[in-house]
Amino acid sequence: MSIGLTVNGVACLVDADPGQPLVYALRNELDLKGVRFGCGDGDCGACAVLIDAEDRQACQMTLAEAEGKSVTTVEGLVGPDGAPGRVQQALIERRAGQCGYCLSGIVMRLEAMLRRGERDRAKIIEGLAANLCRCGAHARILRAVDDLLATP
Amino acid sequence: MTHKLGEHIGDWIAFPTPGRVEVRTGKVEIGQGVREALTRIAAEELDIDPAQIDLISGDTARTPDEGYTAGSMSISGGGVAVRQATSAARALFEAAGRGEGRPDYWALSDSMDLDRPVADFARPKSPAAYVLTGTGGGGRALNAQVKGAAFIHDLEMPGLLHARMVRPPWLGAEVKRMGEASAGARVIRDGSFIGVVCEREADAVAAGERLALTTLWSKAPGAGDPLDIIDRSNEPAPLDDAPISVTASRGFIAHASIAPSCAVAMWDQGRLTVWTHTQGVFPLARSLAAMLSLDADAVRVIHAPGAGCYGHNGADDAAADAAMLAMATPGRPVRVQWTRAQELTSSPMGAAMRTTVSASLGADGRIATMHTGVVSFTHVRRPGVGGVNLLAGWLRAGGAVDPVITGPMPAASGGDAERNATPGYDIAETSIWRTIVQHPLARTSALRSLGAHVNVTALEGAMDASAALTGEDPVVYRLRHLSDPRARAVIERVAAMAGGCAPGSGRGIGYARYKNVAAYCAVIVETELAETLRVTRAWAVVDAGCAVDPDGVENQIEGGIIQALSWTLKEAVNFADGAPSGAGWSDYPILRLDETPQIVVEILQHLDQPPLGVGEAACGPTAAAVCNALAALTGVRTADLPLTRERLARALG
Repeated sequence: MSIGLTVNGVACLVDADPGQPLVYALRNELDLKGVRFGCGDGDCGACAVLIDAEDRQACQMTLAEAEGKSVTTVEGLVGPDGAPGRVQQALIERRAGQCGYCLSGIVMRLEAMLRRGERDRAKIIEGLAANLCRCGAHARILRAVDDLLATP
Repeated sequence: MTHKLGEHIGDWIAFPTPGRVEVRTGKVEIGQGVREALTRIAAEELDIDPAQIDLISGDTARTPDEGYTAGSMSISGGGVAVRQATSAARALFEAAGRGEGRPDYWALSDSMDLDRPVADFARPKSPAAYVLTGTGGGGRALNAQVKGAAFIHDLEMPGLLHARMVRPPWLGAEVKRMGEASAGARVIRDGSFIGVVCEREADAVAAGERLALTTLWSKAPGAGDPLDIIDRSNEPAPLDDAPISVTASRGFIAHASIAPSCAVAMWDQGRLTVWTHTQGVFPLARSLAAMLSLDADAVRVIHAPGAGCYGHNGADDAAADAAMLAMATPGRPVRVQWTRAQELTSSPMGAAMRTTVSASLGADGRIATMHTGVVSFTHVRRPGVGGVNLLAGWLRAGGAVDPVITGPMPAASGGDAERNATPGYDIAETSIWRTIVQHPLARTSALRSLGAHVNVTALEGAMDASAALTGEDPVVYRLRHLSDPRARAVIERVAAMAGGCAPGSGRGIGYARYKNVAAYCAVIVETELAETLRVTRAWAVVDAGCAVDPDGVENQIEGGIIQALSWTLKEAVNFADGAPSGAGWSDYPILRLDETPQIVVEILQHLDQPPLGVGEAACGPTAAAVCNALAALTGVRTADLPLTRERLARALG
């Protein structure tokens, strides 16, 4: 059975088990390895992606549930010339990470909040509390948030 | 004539294509930023753009054996080695080339014999000539990661099979009845070692879950909570009647990496190749060969980056899992990835321990004697250290758990349980008593800073308690015991930055020189006590000698502060029915982004001094500062970690 969805702006047909978690379908069927598997329980945020305009954890929905939707991953924020998106750029400039494994989810969470027009620092930090970072880049990530909020 | 790989210039460097330089290192990237720093060092000595360097790291077939990437020695050891080797290459080319300035490496490389000893040619630049060393900015470091660069989890190769493991519920459990996996899944079993292998990952996940649910294991023997052993262990009473006695303790700590451990292995025509996020490709290769009864040269281990690594986590075990599965699927590479629950419960844990510091004061109010007693589980159980020490080797039929090393690690390595138990202060009479306890159900090994987390907390608690007894300011009191000007400088500077930490301020200070030989670090934290203890601000000053990549050093200190706050305020592995309990993050909370203090870090730069390891330097001082702040805030001194709401309520009555 084929599932139709739009991924990073491109219409795709995925011929795979529709009941599998979206995280595996994105990584293995569509080769979007920037989507990270962290826990599979929706507790760490590493696999966060945009489903239409909303941030969702790709381990918490099936491929079938994404049918007809528009999915955006970190790969989709990179410009055609390879330039990073605004959130990616802000994190690079603050070197807001160590290993970088958690950053895909943090990028997508922040991107979703900014697209919603969220400008309240406290609310953004509250949203980021759904994403775990073990290397302790916390303070740097928040500095990148401040940079983003300082940009009109 | 043969030589040891690493002795010759050509072991470290090659000029394969015009404009590119290949630099090989045995040290590996584990999130600590070593690629950035090593690239900078090599570019500095060769006078080329860092972007021209291709760094090859951790490959038993290609790089020198630099042991484990551990102990905060990536730069103090591995960085110095790269500086020596690349400076030797430059000297060799300069001698062969004509004219001033940078030699044309690529024009000369065909006629150049790099098979010459590093030691005969090494001529590192004078620090005064540094352009890249010690300058700011780490802009390159995250460029690829934020766009989705590949981790080991993302390796692709033709014919890749996917696997999941089914683990016994406790160490030593035996299969009573094998369950069933889904149709199409291949079950590979050897004693208590069980894996499922499928063509597709989602199928392997489902098969692993089904097999785990339907397999019956023997019941745990009811051997009690391993932590009780620490509680029951009484060190001998100190010789003198010490007026000051401070105890710090912690339970078991999980590495709790954000990614589950992963590895890929292929068994083909009598040769085993393993891709892994291990800290030590060479020791792992030797342990795998021993476990599988293979010739050492039949095993190649190649490093690929994993998520942040803070010590001996599940990486080596996952590599052994993949190797065992690959031996059963010849000619096909097998990728195994652990579940979140496995990552939290079957990786080695950071050791539970308890440290008591007793001190007596002289007539001048200074500490005259200090006695440190340490009771701890082992911190030393890496592959190849006293045994094979790979989980698969323990679980398979006929496998046996390798014995625990109870003797101390050499003092030159900084010790293990007693790491930083020796005070860094000028104290006339000091002594250390140390014992290692063990329990069949508790598997512990190296976690960032080893014993220093708890030892520095106890020692710095004793310093504060002594200062309080003499009515002195904790900063001034410490300085009275320090003649080393670099130690004084980090404390004086952090106190100036924070504006002191007077009693009653809710602030506390912690200081240590990591391993008594690596970086100096002083931390002040500011706390608030409501329902829980919250750290709102932190200031840190570090002297890492020559800080090659200052922003990387700051990143390590900031990360060390956050991780140590998490251990100190929140973390302990609970045991239930003989095993670490907890299926997910809700059972093992770590510090979240909405609990982030404001952090300011300063580096005291010494370009003319050797680099000092920095990755673990902040852990002990941060924990100590928190406990000292709590005492300053409440008058109650407790360091029975973690300082959760329940424990605080008990301690504060």
